[in-house]
Amino acid sequence: MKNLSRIIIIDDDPINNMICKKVIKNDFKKLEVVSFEYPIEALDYIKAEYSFVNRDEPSILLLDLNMPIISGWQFLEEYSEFSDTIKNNFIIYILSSSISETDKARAAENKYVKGYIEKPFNSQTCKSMILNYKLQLVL
Amino acid sequence: MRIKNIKHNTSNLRLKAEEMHKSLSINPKDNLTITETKEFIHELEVHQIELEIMNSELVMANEQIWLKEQRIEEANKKFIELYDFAPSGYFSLTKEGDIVEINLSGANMLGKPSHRLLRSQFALYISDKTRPIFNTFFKTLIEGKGTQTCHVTLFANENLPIAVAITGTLSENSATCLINVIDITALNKAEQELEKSNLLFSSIFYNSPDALIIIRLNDNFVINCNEKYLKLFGFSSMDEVVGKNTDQLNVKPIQGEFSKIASLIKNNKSVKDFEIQLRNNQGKLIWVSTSIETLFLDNSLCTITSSINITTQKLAQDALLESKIRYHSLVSNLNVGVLVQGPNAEMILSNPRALELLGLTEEQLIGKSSFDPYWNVIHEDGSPFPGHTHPVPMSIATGQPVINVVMGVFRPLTNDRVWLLVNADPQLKEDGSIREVICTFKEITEIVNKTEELKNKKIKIENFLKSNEKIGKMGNWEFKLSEKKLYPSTGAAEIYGTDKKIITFDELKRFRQPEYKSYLDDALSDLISKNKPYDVEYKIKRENDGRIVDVNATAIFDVTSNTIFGTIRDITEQKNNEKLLNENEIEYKILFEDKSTIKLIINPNGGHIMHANAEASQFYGWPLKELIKKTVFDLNIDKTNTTKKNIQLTAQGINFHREVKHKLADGSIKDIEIFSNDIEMSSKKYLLTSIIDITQRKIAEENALKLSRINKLTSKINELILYATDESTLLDEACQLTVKLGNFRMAWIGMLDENTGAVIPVIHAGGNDGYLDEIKIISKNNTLNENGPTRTSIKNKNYSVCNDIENDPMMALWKTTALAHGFHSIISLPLIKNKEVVGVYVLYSSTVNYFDNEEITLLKEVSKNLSFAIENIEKEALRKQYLVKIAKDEESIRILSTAIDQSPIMSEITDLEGNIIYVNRKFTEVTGYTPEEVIGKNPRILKSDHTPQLEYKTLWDTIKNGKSWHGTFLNKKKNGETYWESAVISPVKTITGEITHFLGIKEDITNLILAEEEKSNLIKDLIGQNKNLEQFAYIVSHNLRSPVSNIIGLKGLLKLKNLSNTEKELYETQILKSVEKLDDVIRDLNAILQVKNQLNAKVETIHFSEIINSINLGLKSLIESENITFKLNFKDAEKTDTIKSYLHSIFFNLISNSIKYRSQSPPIIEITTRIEGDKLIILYKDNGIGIDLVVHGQNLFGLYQRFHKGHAEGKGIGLYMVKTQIESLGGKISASSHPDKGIEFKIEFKNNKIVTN
Repeated sequence: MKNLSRIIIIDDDPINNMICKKVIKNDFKKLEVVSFEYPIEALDYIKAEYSFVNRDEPSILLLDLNMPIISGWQFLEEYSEFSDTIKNNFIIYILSSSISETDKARAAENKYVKGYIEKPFNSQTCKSMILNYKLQLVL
Repeated sequence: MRIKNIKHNTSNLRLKAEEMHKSLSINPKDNLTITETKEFIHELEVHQIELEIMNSELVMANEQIWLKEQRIEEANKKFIELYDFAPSGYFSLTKEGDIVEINLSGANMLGKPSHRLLRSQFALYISDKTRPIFNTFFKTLIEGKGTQTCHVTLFANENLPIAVAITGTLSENSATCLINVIDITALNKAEQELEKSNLLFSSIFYNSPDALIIIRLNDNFVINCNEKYLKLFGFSSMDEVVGKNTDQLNVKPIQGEFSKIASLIKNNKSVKDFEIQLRNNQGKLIWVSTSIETLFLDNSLCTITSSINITTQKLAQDALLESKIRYHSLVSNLNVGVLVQGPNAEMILSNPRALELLGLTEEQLIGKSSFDPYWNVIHEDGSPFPGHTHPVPMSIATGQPVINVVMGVFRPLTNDRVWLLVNADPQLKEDGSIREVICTFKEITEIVNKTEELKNKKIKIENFLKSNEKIGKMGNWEFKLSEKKLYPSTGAAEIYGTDKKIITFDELKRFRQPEYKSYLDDALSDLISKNKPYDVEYKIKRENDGRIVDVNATAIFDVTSNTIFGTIRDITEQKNNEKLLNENEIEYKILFEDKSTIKLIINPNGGHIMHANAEASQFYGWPLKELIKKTVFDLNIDKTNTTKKNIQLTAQGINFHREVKHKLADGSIKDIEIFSNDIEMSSKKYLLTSIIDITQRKIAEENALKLSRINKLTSKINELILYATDESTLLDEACQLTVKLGNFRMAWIGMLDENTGAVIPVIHAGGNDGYLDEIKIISKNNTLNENGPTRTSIKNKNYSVCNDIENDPMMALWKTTALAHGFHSIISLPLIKNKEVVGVYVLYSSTVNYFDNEEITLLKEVSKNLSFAIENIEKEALRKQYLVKIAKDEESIRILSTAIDQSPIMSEITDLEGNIIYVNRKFTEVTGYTPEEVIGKNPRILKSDHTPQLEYKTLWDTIKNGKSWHGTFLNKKKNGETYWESAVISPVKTITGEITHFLGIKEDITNLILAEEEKSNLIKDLIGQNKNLEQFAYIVSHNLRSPVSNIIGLKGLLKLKNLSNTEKELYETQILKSVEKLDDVIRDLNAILQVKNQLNAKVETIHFSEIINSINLGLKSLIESENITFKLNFKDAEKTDTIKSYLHSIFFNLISNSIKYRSQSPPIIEITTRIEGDKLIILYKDNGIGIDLVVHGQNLFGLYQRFHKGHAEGKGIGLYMVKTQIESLGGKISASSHPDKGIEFKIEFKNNKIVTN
């Protein structure tokens, strides 16, 4: 796995998306940050961008849970249908305002979910998330 | 007309012929020779003749034709007559249906003269109802499809409607239709009648209480049968019987006059009430009373057999008969004559022994009565015994039993007299009148004869005594002690030789000879003080002639009158004669003269026998020489001093007479009667002793006594047996009687223990004194060599007797004990039940050789009768037990069935096929079906469609395997209502485990189920509400947290360094937005909570149109700009009672949703209200973009749920509010929708009202 190339944010709340972008860009200027207010658009983007076999672009995906039309959980179901070629590129973190233990437990059970982040997304969280990624690379 | 034509034709022929002739003669040969001419003429002549002949033939033929024509004419006339007067109507109709020809009957049928009918439409006369039939018929007819028929009703003017059959054909030229109309009213009626009678027949047939079956005789084919038949003969369905051959029916005749029935049927005679026994299809034995009639059915001879179940009666009869037979056999077997006589002493019944004893046949006896002059009956003493004093009439007169009457009945047949000991026992009816008298009797001829013999002997003895007695002169006297004076009778005075009427005591003393003074004083003082009999012989000196005479005086003393009454006899002559005899020593002569008497002359001193006659020698068995060496003490077995005293007394002149026992030479002991007188021989006193052997008499006496005892015993025991009801009482009483009447020392009855073989005494009578216990121990210790009478009698099934316990080795084991108890003879008689020895009847006598043949015979009879009684009592007891059990069973069945009938739980009983045979009241109460409606039917009439077929199969499999089935059914009542029942269905089994019925115990648990359902609905509701609450809490927390976390996040961003002013401004604006959002959420929450808390619940009547109008007013511009159309229909339900704000909010949310999510085409909103039962229904429909309910259905009414991308206005609270408010009002909302097809909401409110609870 190579160096982290991109962070994708999926949340229907534009304010949150703006906060995340600013926090990430503030610490990691080179990282590309993409955000989607509708999960469907995000799914289309992933399919379009990551379907190539040798595209080795590891990305972090920040996924909100409570969204209209398609919720975060429904997104994960759709995502699970993707080929491993696509899925191998992603590390998914749930980013939600929910502090419900049920949601946290459910997220922990999902094998595609790496971690659960409570809103608001801040610099500290961002750093530890990326440090975590890098540690994984070293080990 | 025709004839003329023919004639015309004939003249034509001639014309033609002439023309032909002319044409032929046009070219005659001119040059004809004469010969030729002659020949030609001849030929012509021949032709002419031929023609003439032909002509005449033709004329004749003509005539014949004419005759025929005439006949045809006549026939025609007749035909026309027939046509007119035919019983059926003939019509000719045109193709248009007009009548053109009609006969008289036809006209009559239509009720008008023919001329008025012609040219009218035939169809007019047909009833409206049947006219279409005729029209079809007529149409088919004129289409030329051949002969047609139809049945219609004619409607003639005044006549009643006539049912007719019409047959029609098309005439040859197809111009007219000929129709024949036949009145079939009568036929129809007849058919109806037939049908009615058929119906009646079948209703009688099927509903008859008798079992009916119709069988065709020639092939035994079963044509029909009814339900009763199936039931009685054990079939479960008609198919098993109807259409079968009788041989195929599994009904087996058991008993009855079948051949007689067959021959009656064969001879076409009816069979009436024949009782037959059958084994029915289920193998059950039944008795039926059968009647068979023959009848014709479908041209074949059939039998209709009706059968009535008489099994119960038969069984009862059988039981009665059985008990009668048993009674008869009991009576017949008794060795006692038994007669049963009616209330008028008429003979009803007799047993063989009675006939034998009376010397009559049964025919001769039955019908006679006690009063019949036929009887020649005498008393024991030979006096006549008239009919009305016989025991039976006496017992009828008194109502009391008459016992032990001796009757001598003359038997003309054998010309002898039988002596009977007769008992009569009246049997009373409940009202106390006589039902019958049971007369039992036993032959005692032997006893009577013996008694007679005995009597004769006694008379002989008396005569002898009389002959020996010298009859002296006699007198009476009285001696009054107070006066000390004697009053002699004339006879007594004569003996005293005095004229005195009163003799003083002193005078009396003077009469006595002095030597007798002390002897007489002693006797007299003994009489007065000790009341000893006064019997003295002495000498007196007569007063008038001084003669000394011998007298014998006897006397008794009467204390009350203080008087001695006495007799006196002059015995001088007797004494003198004796003296004379002695003195003349002619004693031998006397001895030899009376050869019948044994005589001895004895010396009073020492008792030496001085003389004995030949009879004496013969009697004692000693030669005379030997005999006279003996003393009387050698002979007499009594060794006391009595004999000595007697001899001395006799020697003093006192006559002596008594019975003693003497021992003979051979050692045997004889009973003798001794008469002694003193005689003087050679001036010495001797005793002349006459001896009479009374052994025979004694034995006869004893035997007679014994026999009469035993006879009495047997007769009494037989009586006991006749009335015995239980074994132990019988045996006990028999034992008691045995001892009492039979003069036995003890009697006991022992029963044989089947297992150990030991005899256990059960009953005893008489002096037991522990004897039974003692012999028990003896027997127990000597089981191996026990050959006593008891054991022997058991072994040999016969009596066993030991007549000398002391010496018989048979009793060696028990001898000591037996003798100690005074037993000298024993007999053991076996008691036999069912050919096996079950016990013994043992009797003990204190006398040696007690049991002789006669006695044994009688006792054998007693034991036989006892055996018989034991056997029969047991049978009788079993029968009674059985009857009691049946009665008990019936009682318990009655109680149980009442209990079941009154039970608050439904009960039903079905047969093996599942057909209901019983239902209780509760069943009727719950299901609405009466027993009559369901009996014979299958419980599946209750079945609803809700119970799966498999369930029924499981049920049947379970119960047919003999197990109980539990389950719940949803069943249907008679009125169609459904109800839940919890059922336990169990098989009813016989003791042998055979299943006979099924019992269903059911409970209506509808209320329970409903309550359960309500409960589970409640729980579901609660769970739903709880979930909703959870969801609410979750959503709320999320939506509250979102703006809060944004504010925190933005605040974090504001802390970053190097922020541009634009950025700072942006973040601050965003913070403000988030705060506003937070405020929105809090407001929403407030609104929702308000709904949930149902504040301001003011209910008012609201018109739907008002609400919609006020909303539309608010949305006016939007509605106009978007060109929205409303289609409102509140006709069915204009208004409702509800909370205005809620209803407003509901419609506002729905309408604003419709506007928000509109499609390309102009929005159309349809709102309809209507009433459905007790519900108010509001239908709301739009043509917007709709929603995919497959994906979003479950979240449709969720809080903060949004389903549409790009429609940012949606907060996701509208439908949630709608739902919450509707539910608060007690209603329901559901939606149906497809993407791009709009959405439809259905809102339901209960009770036609929208109200809050």
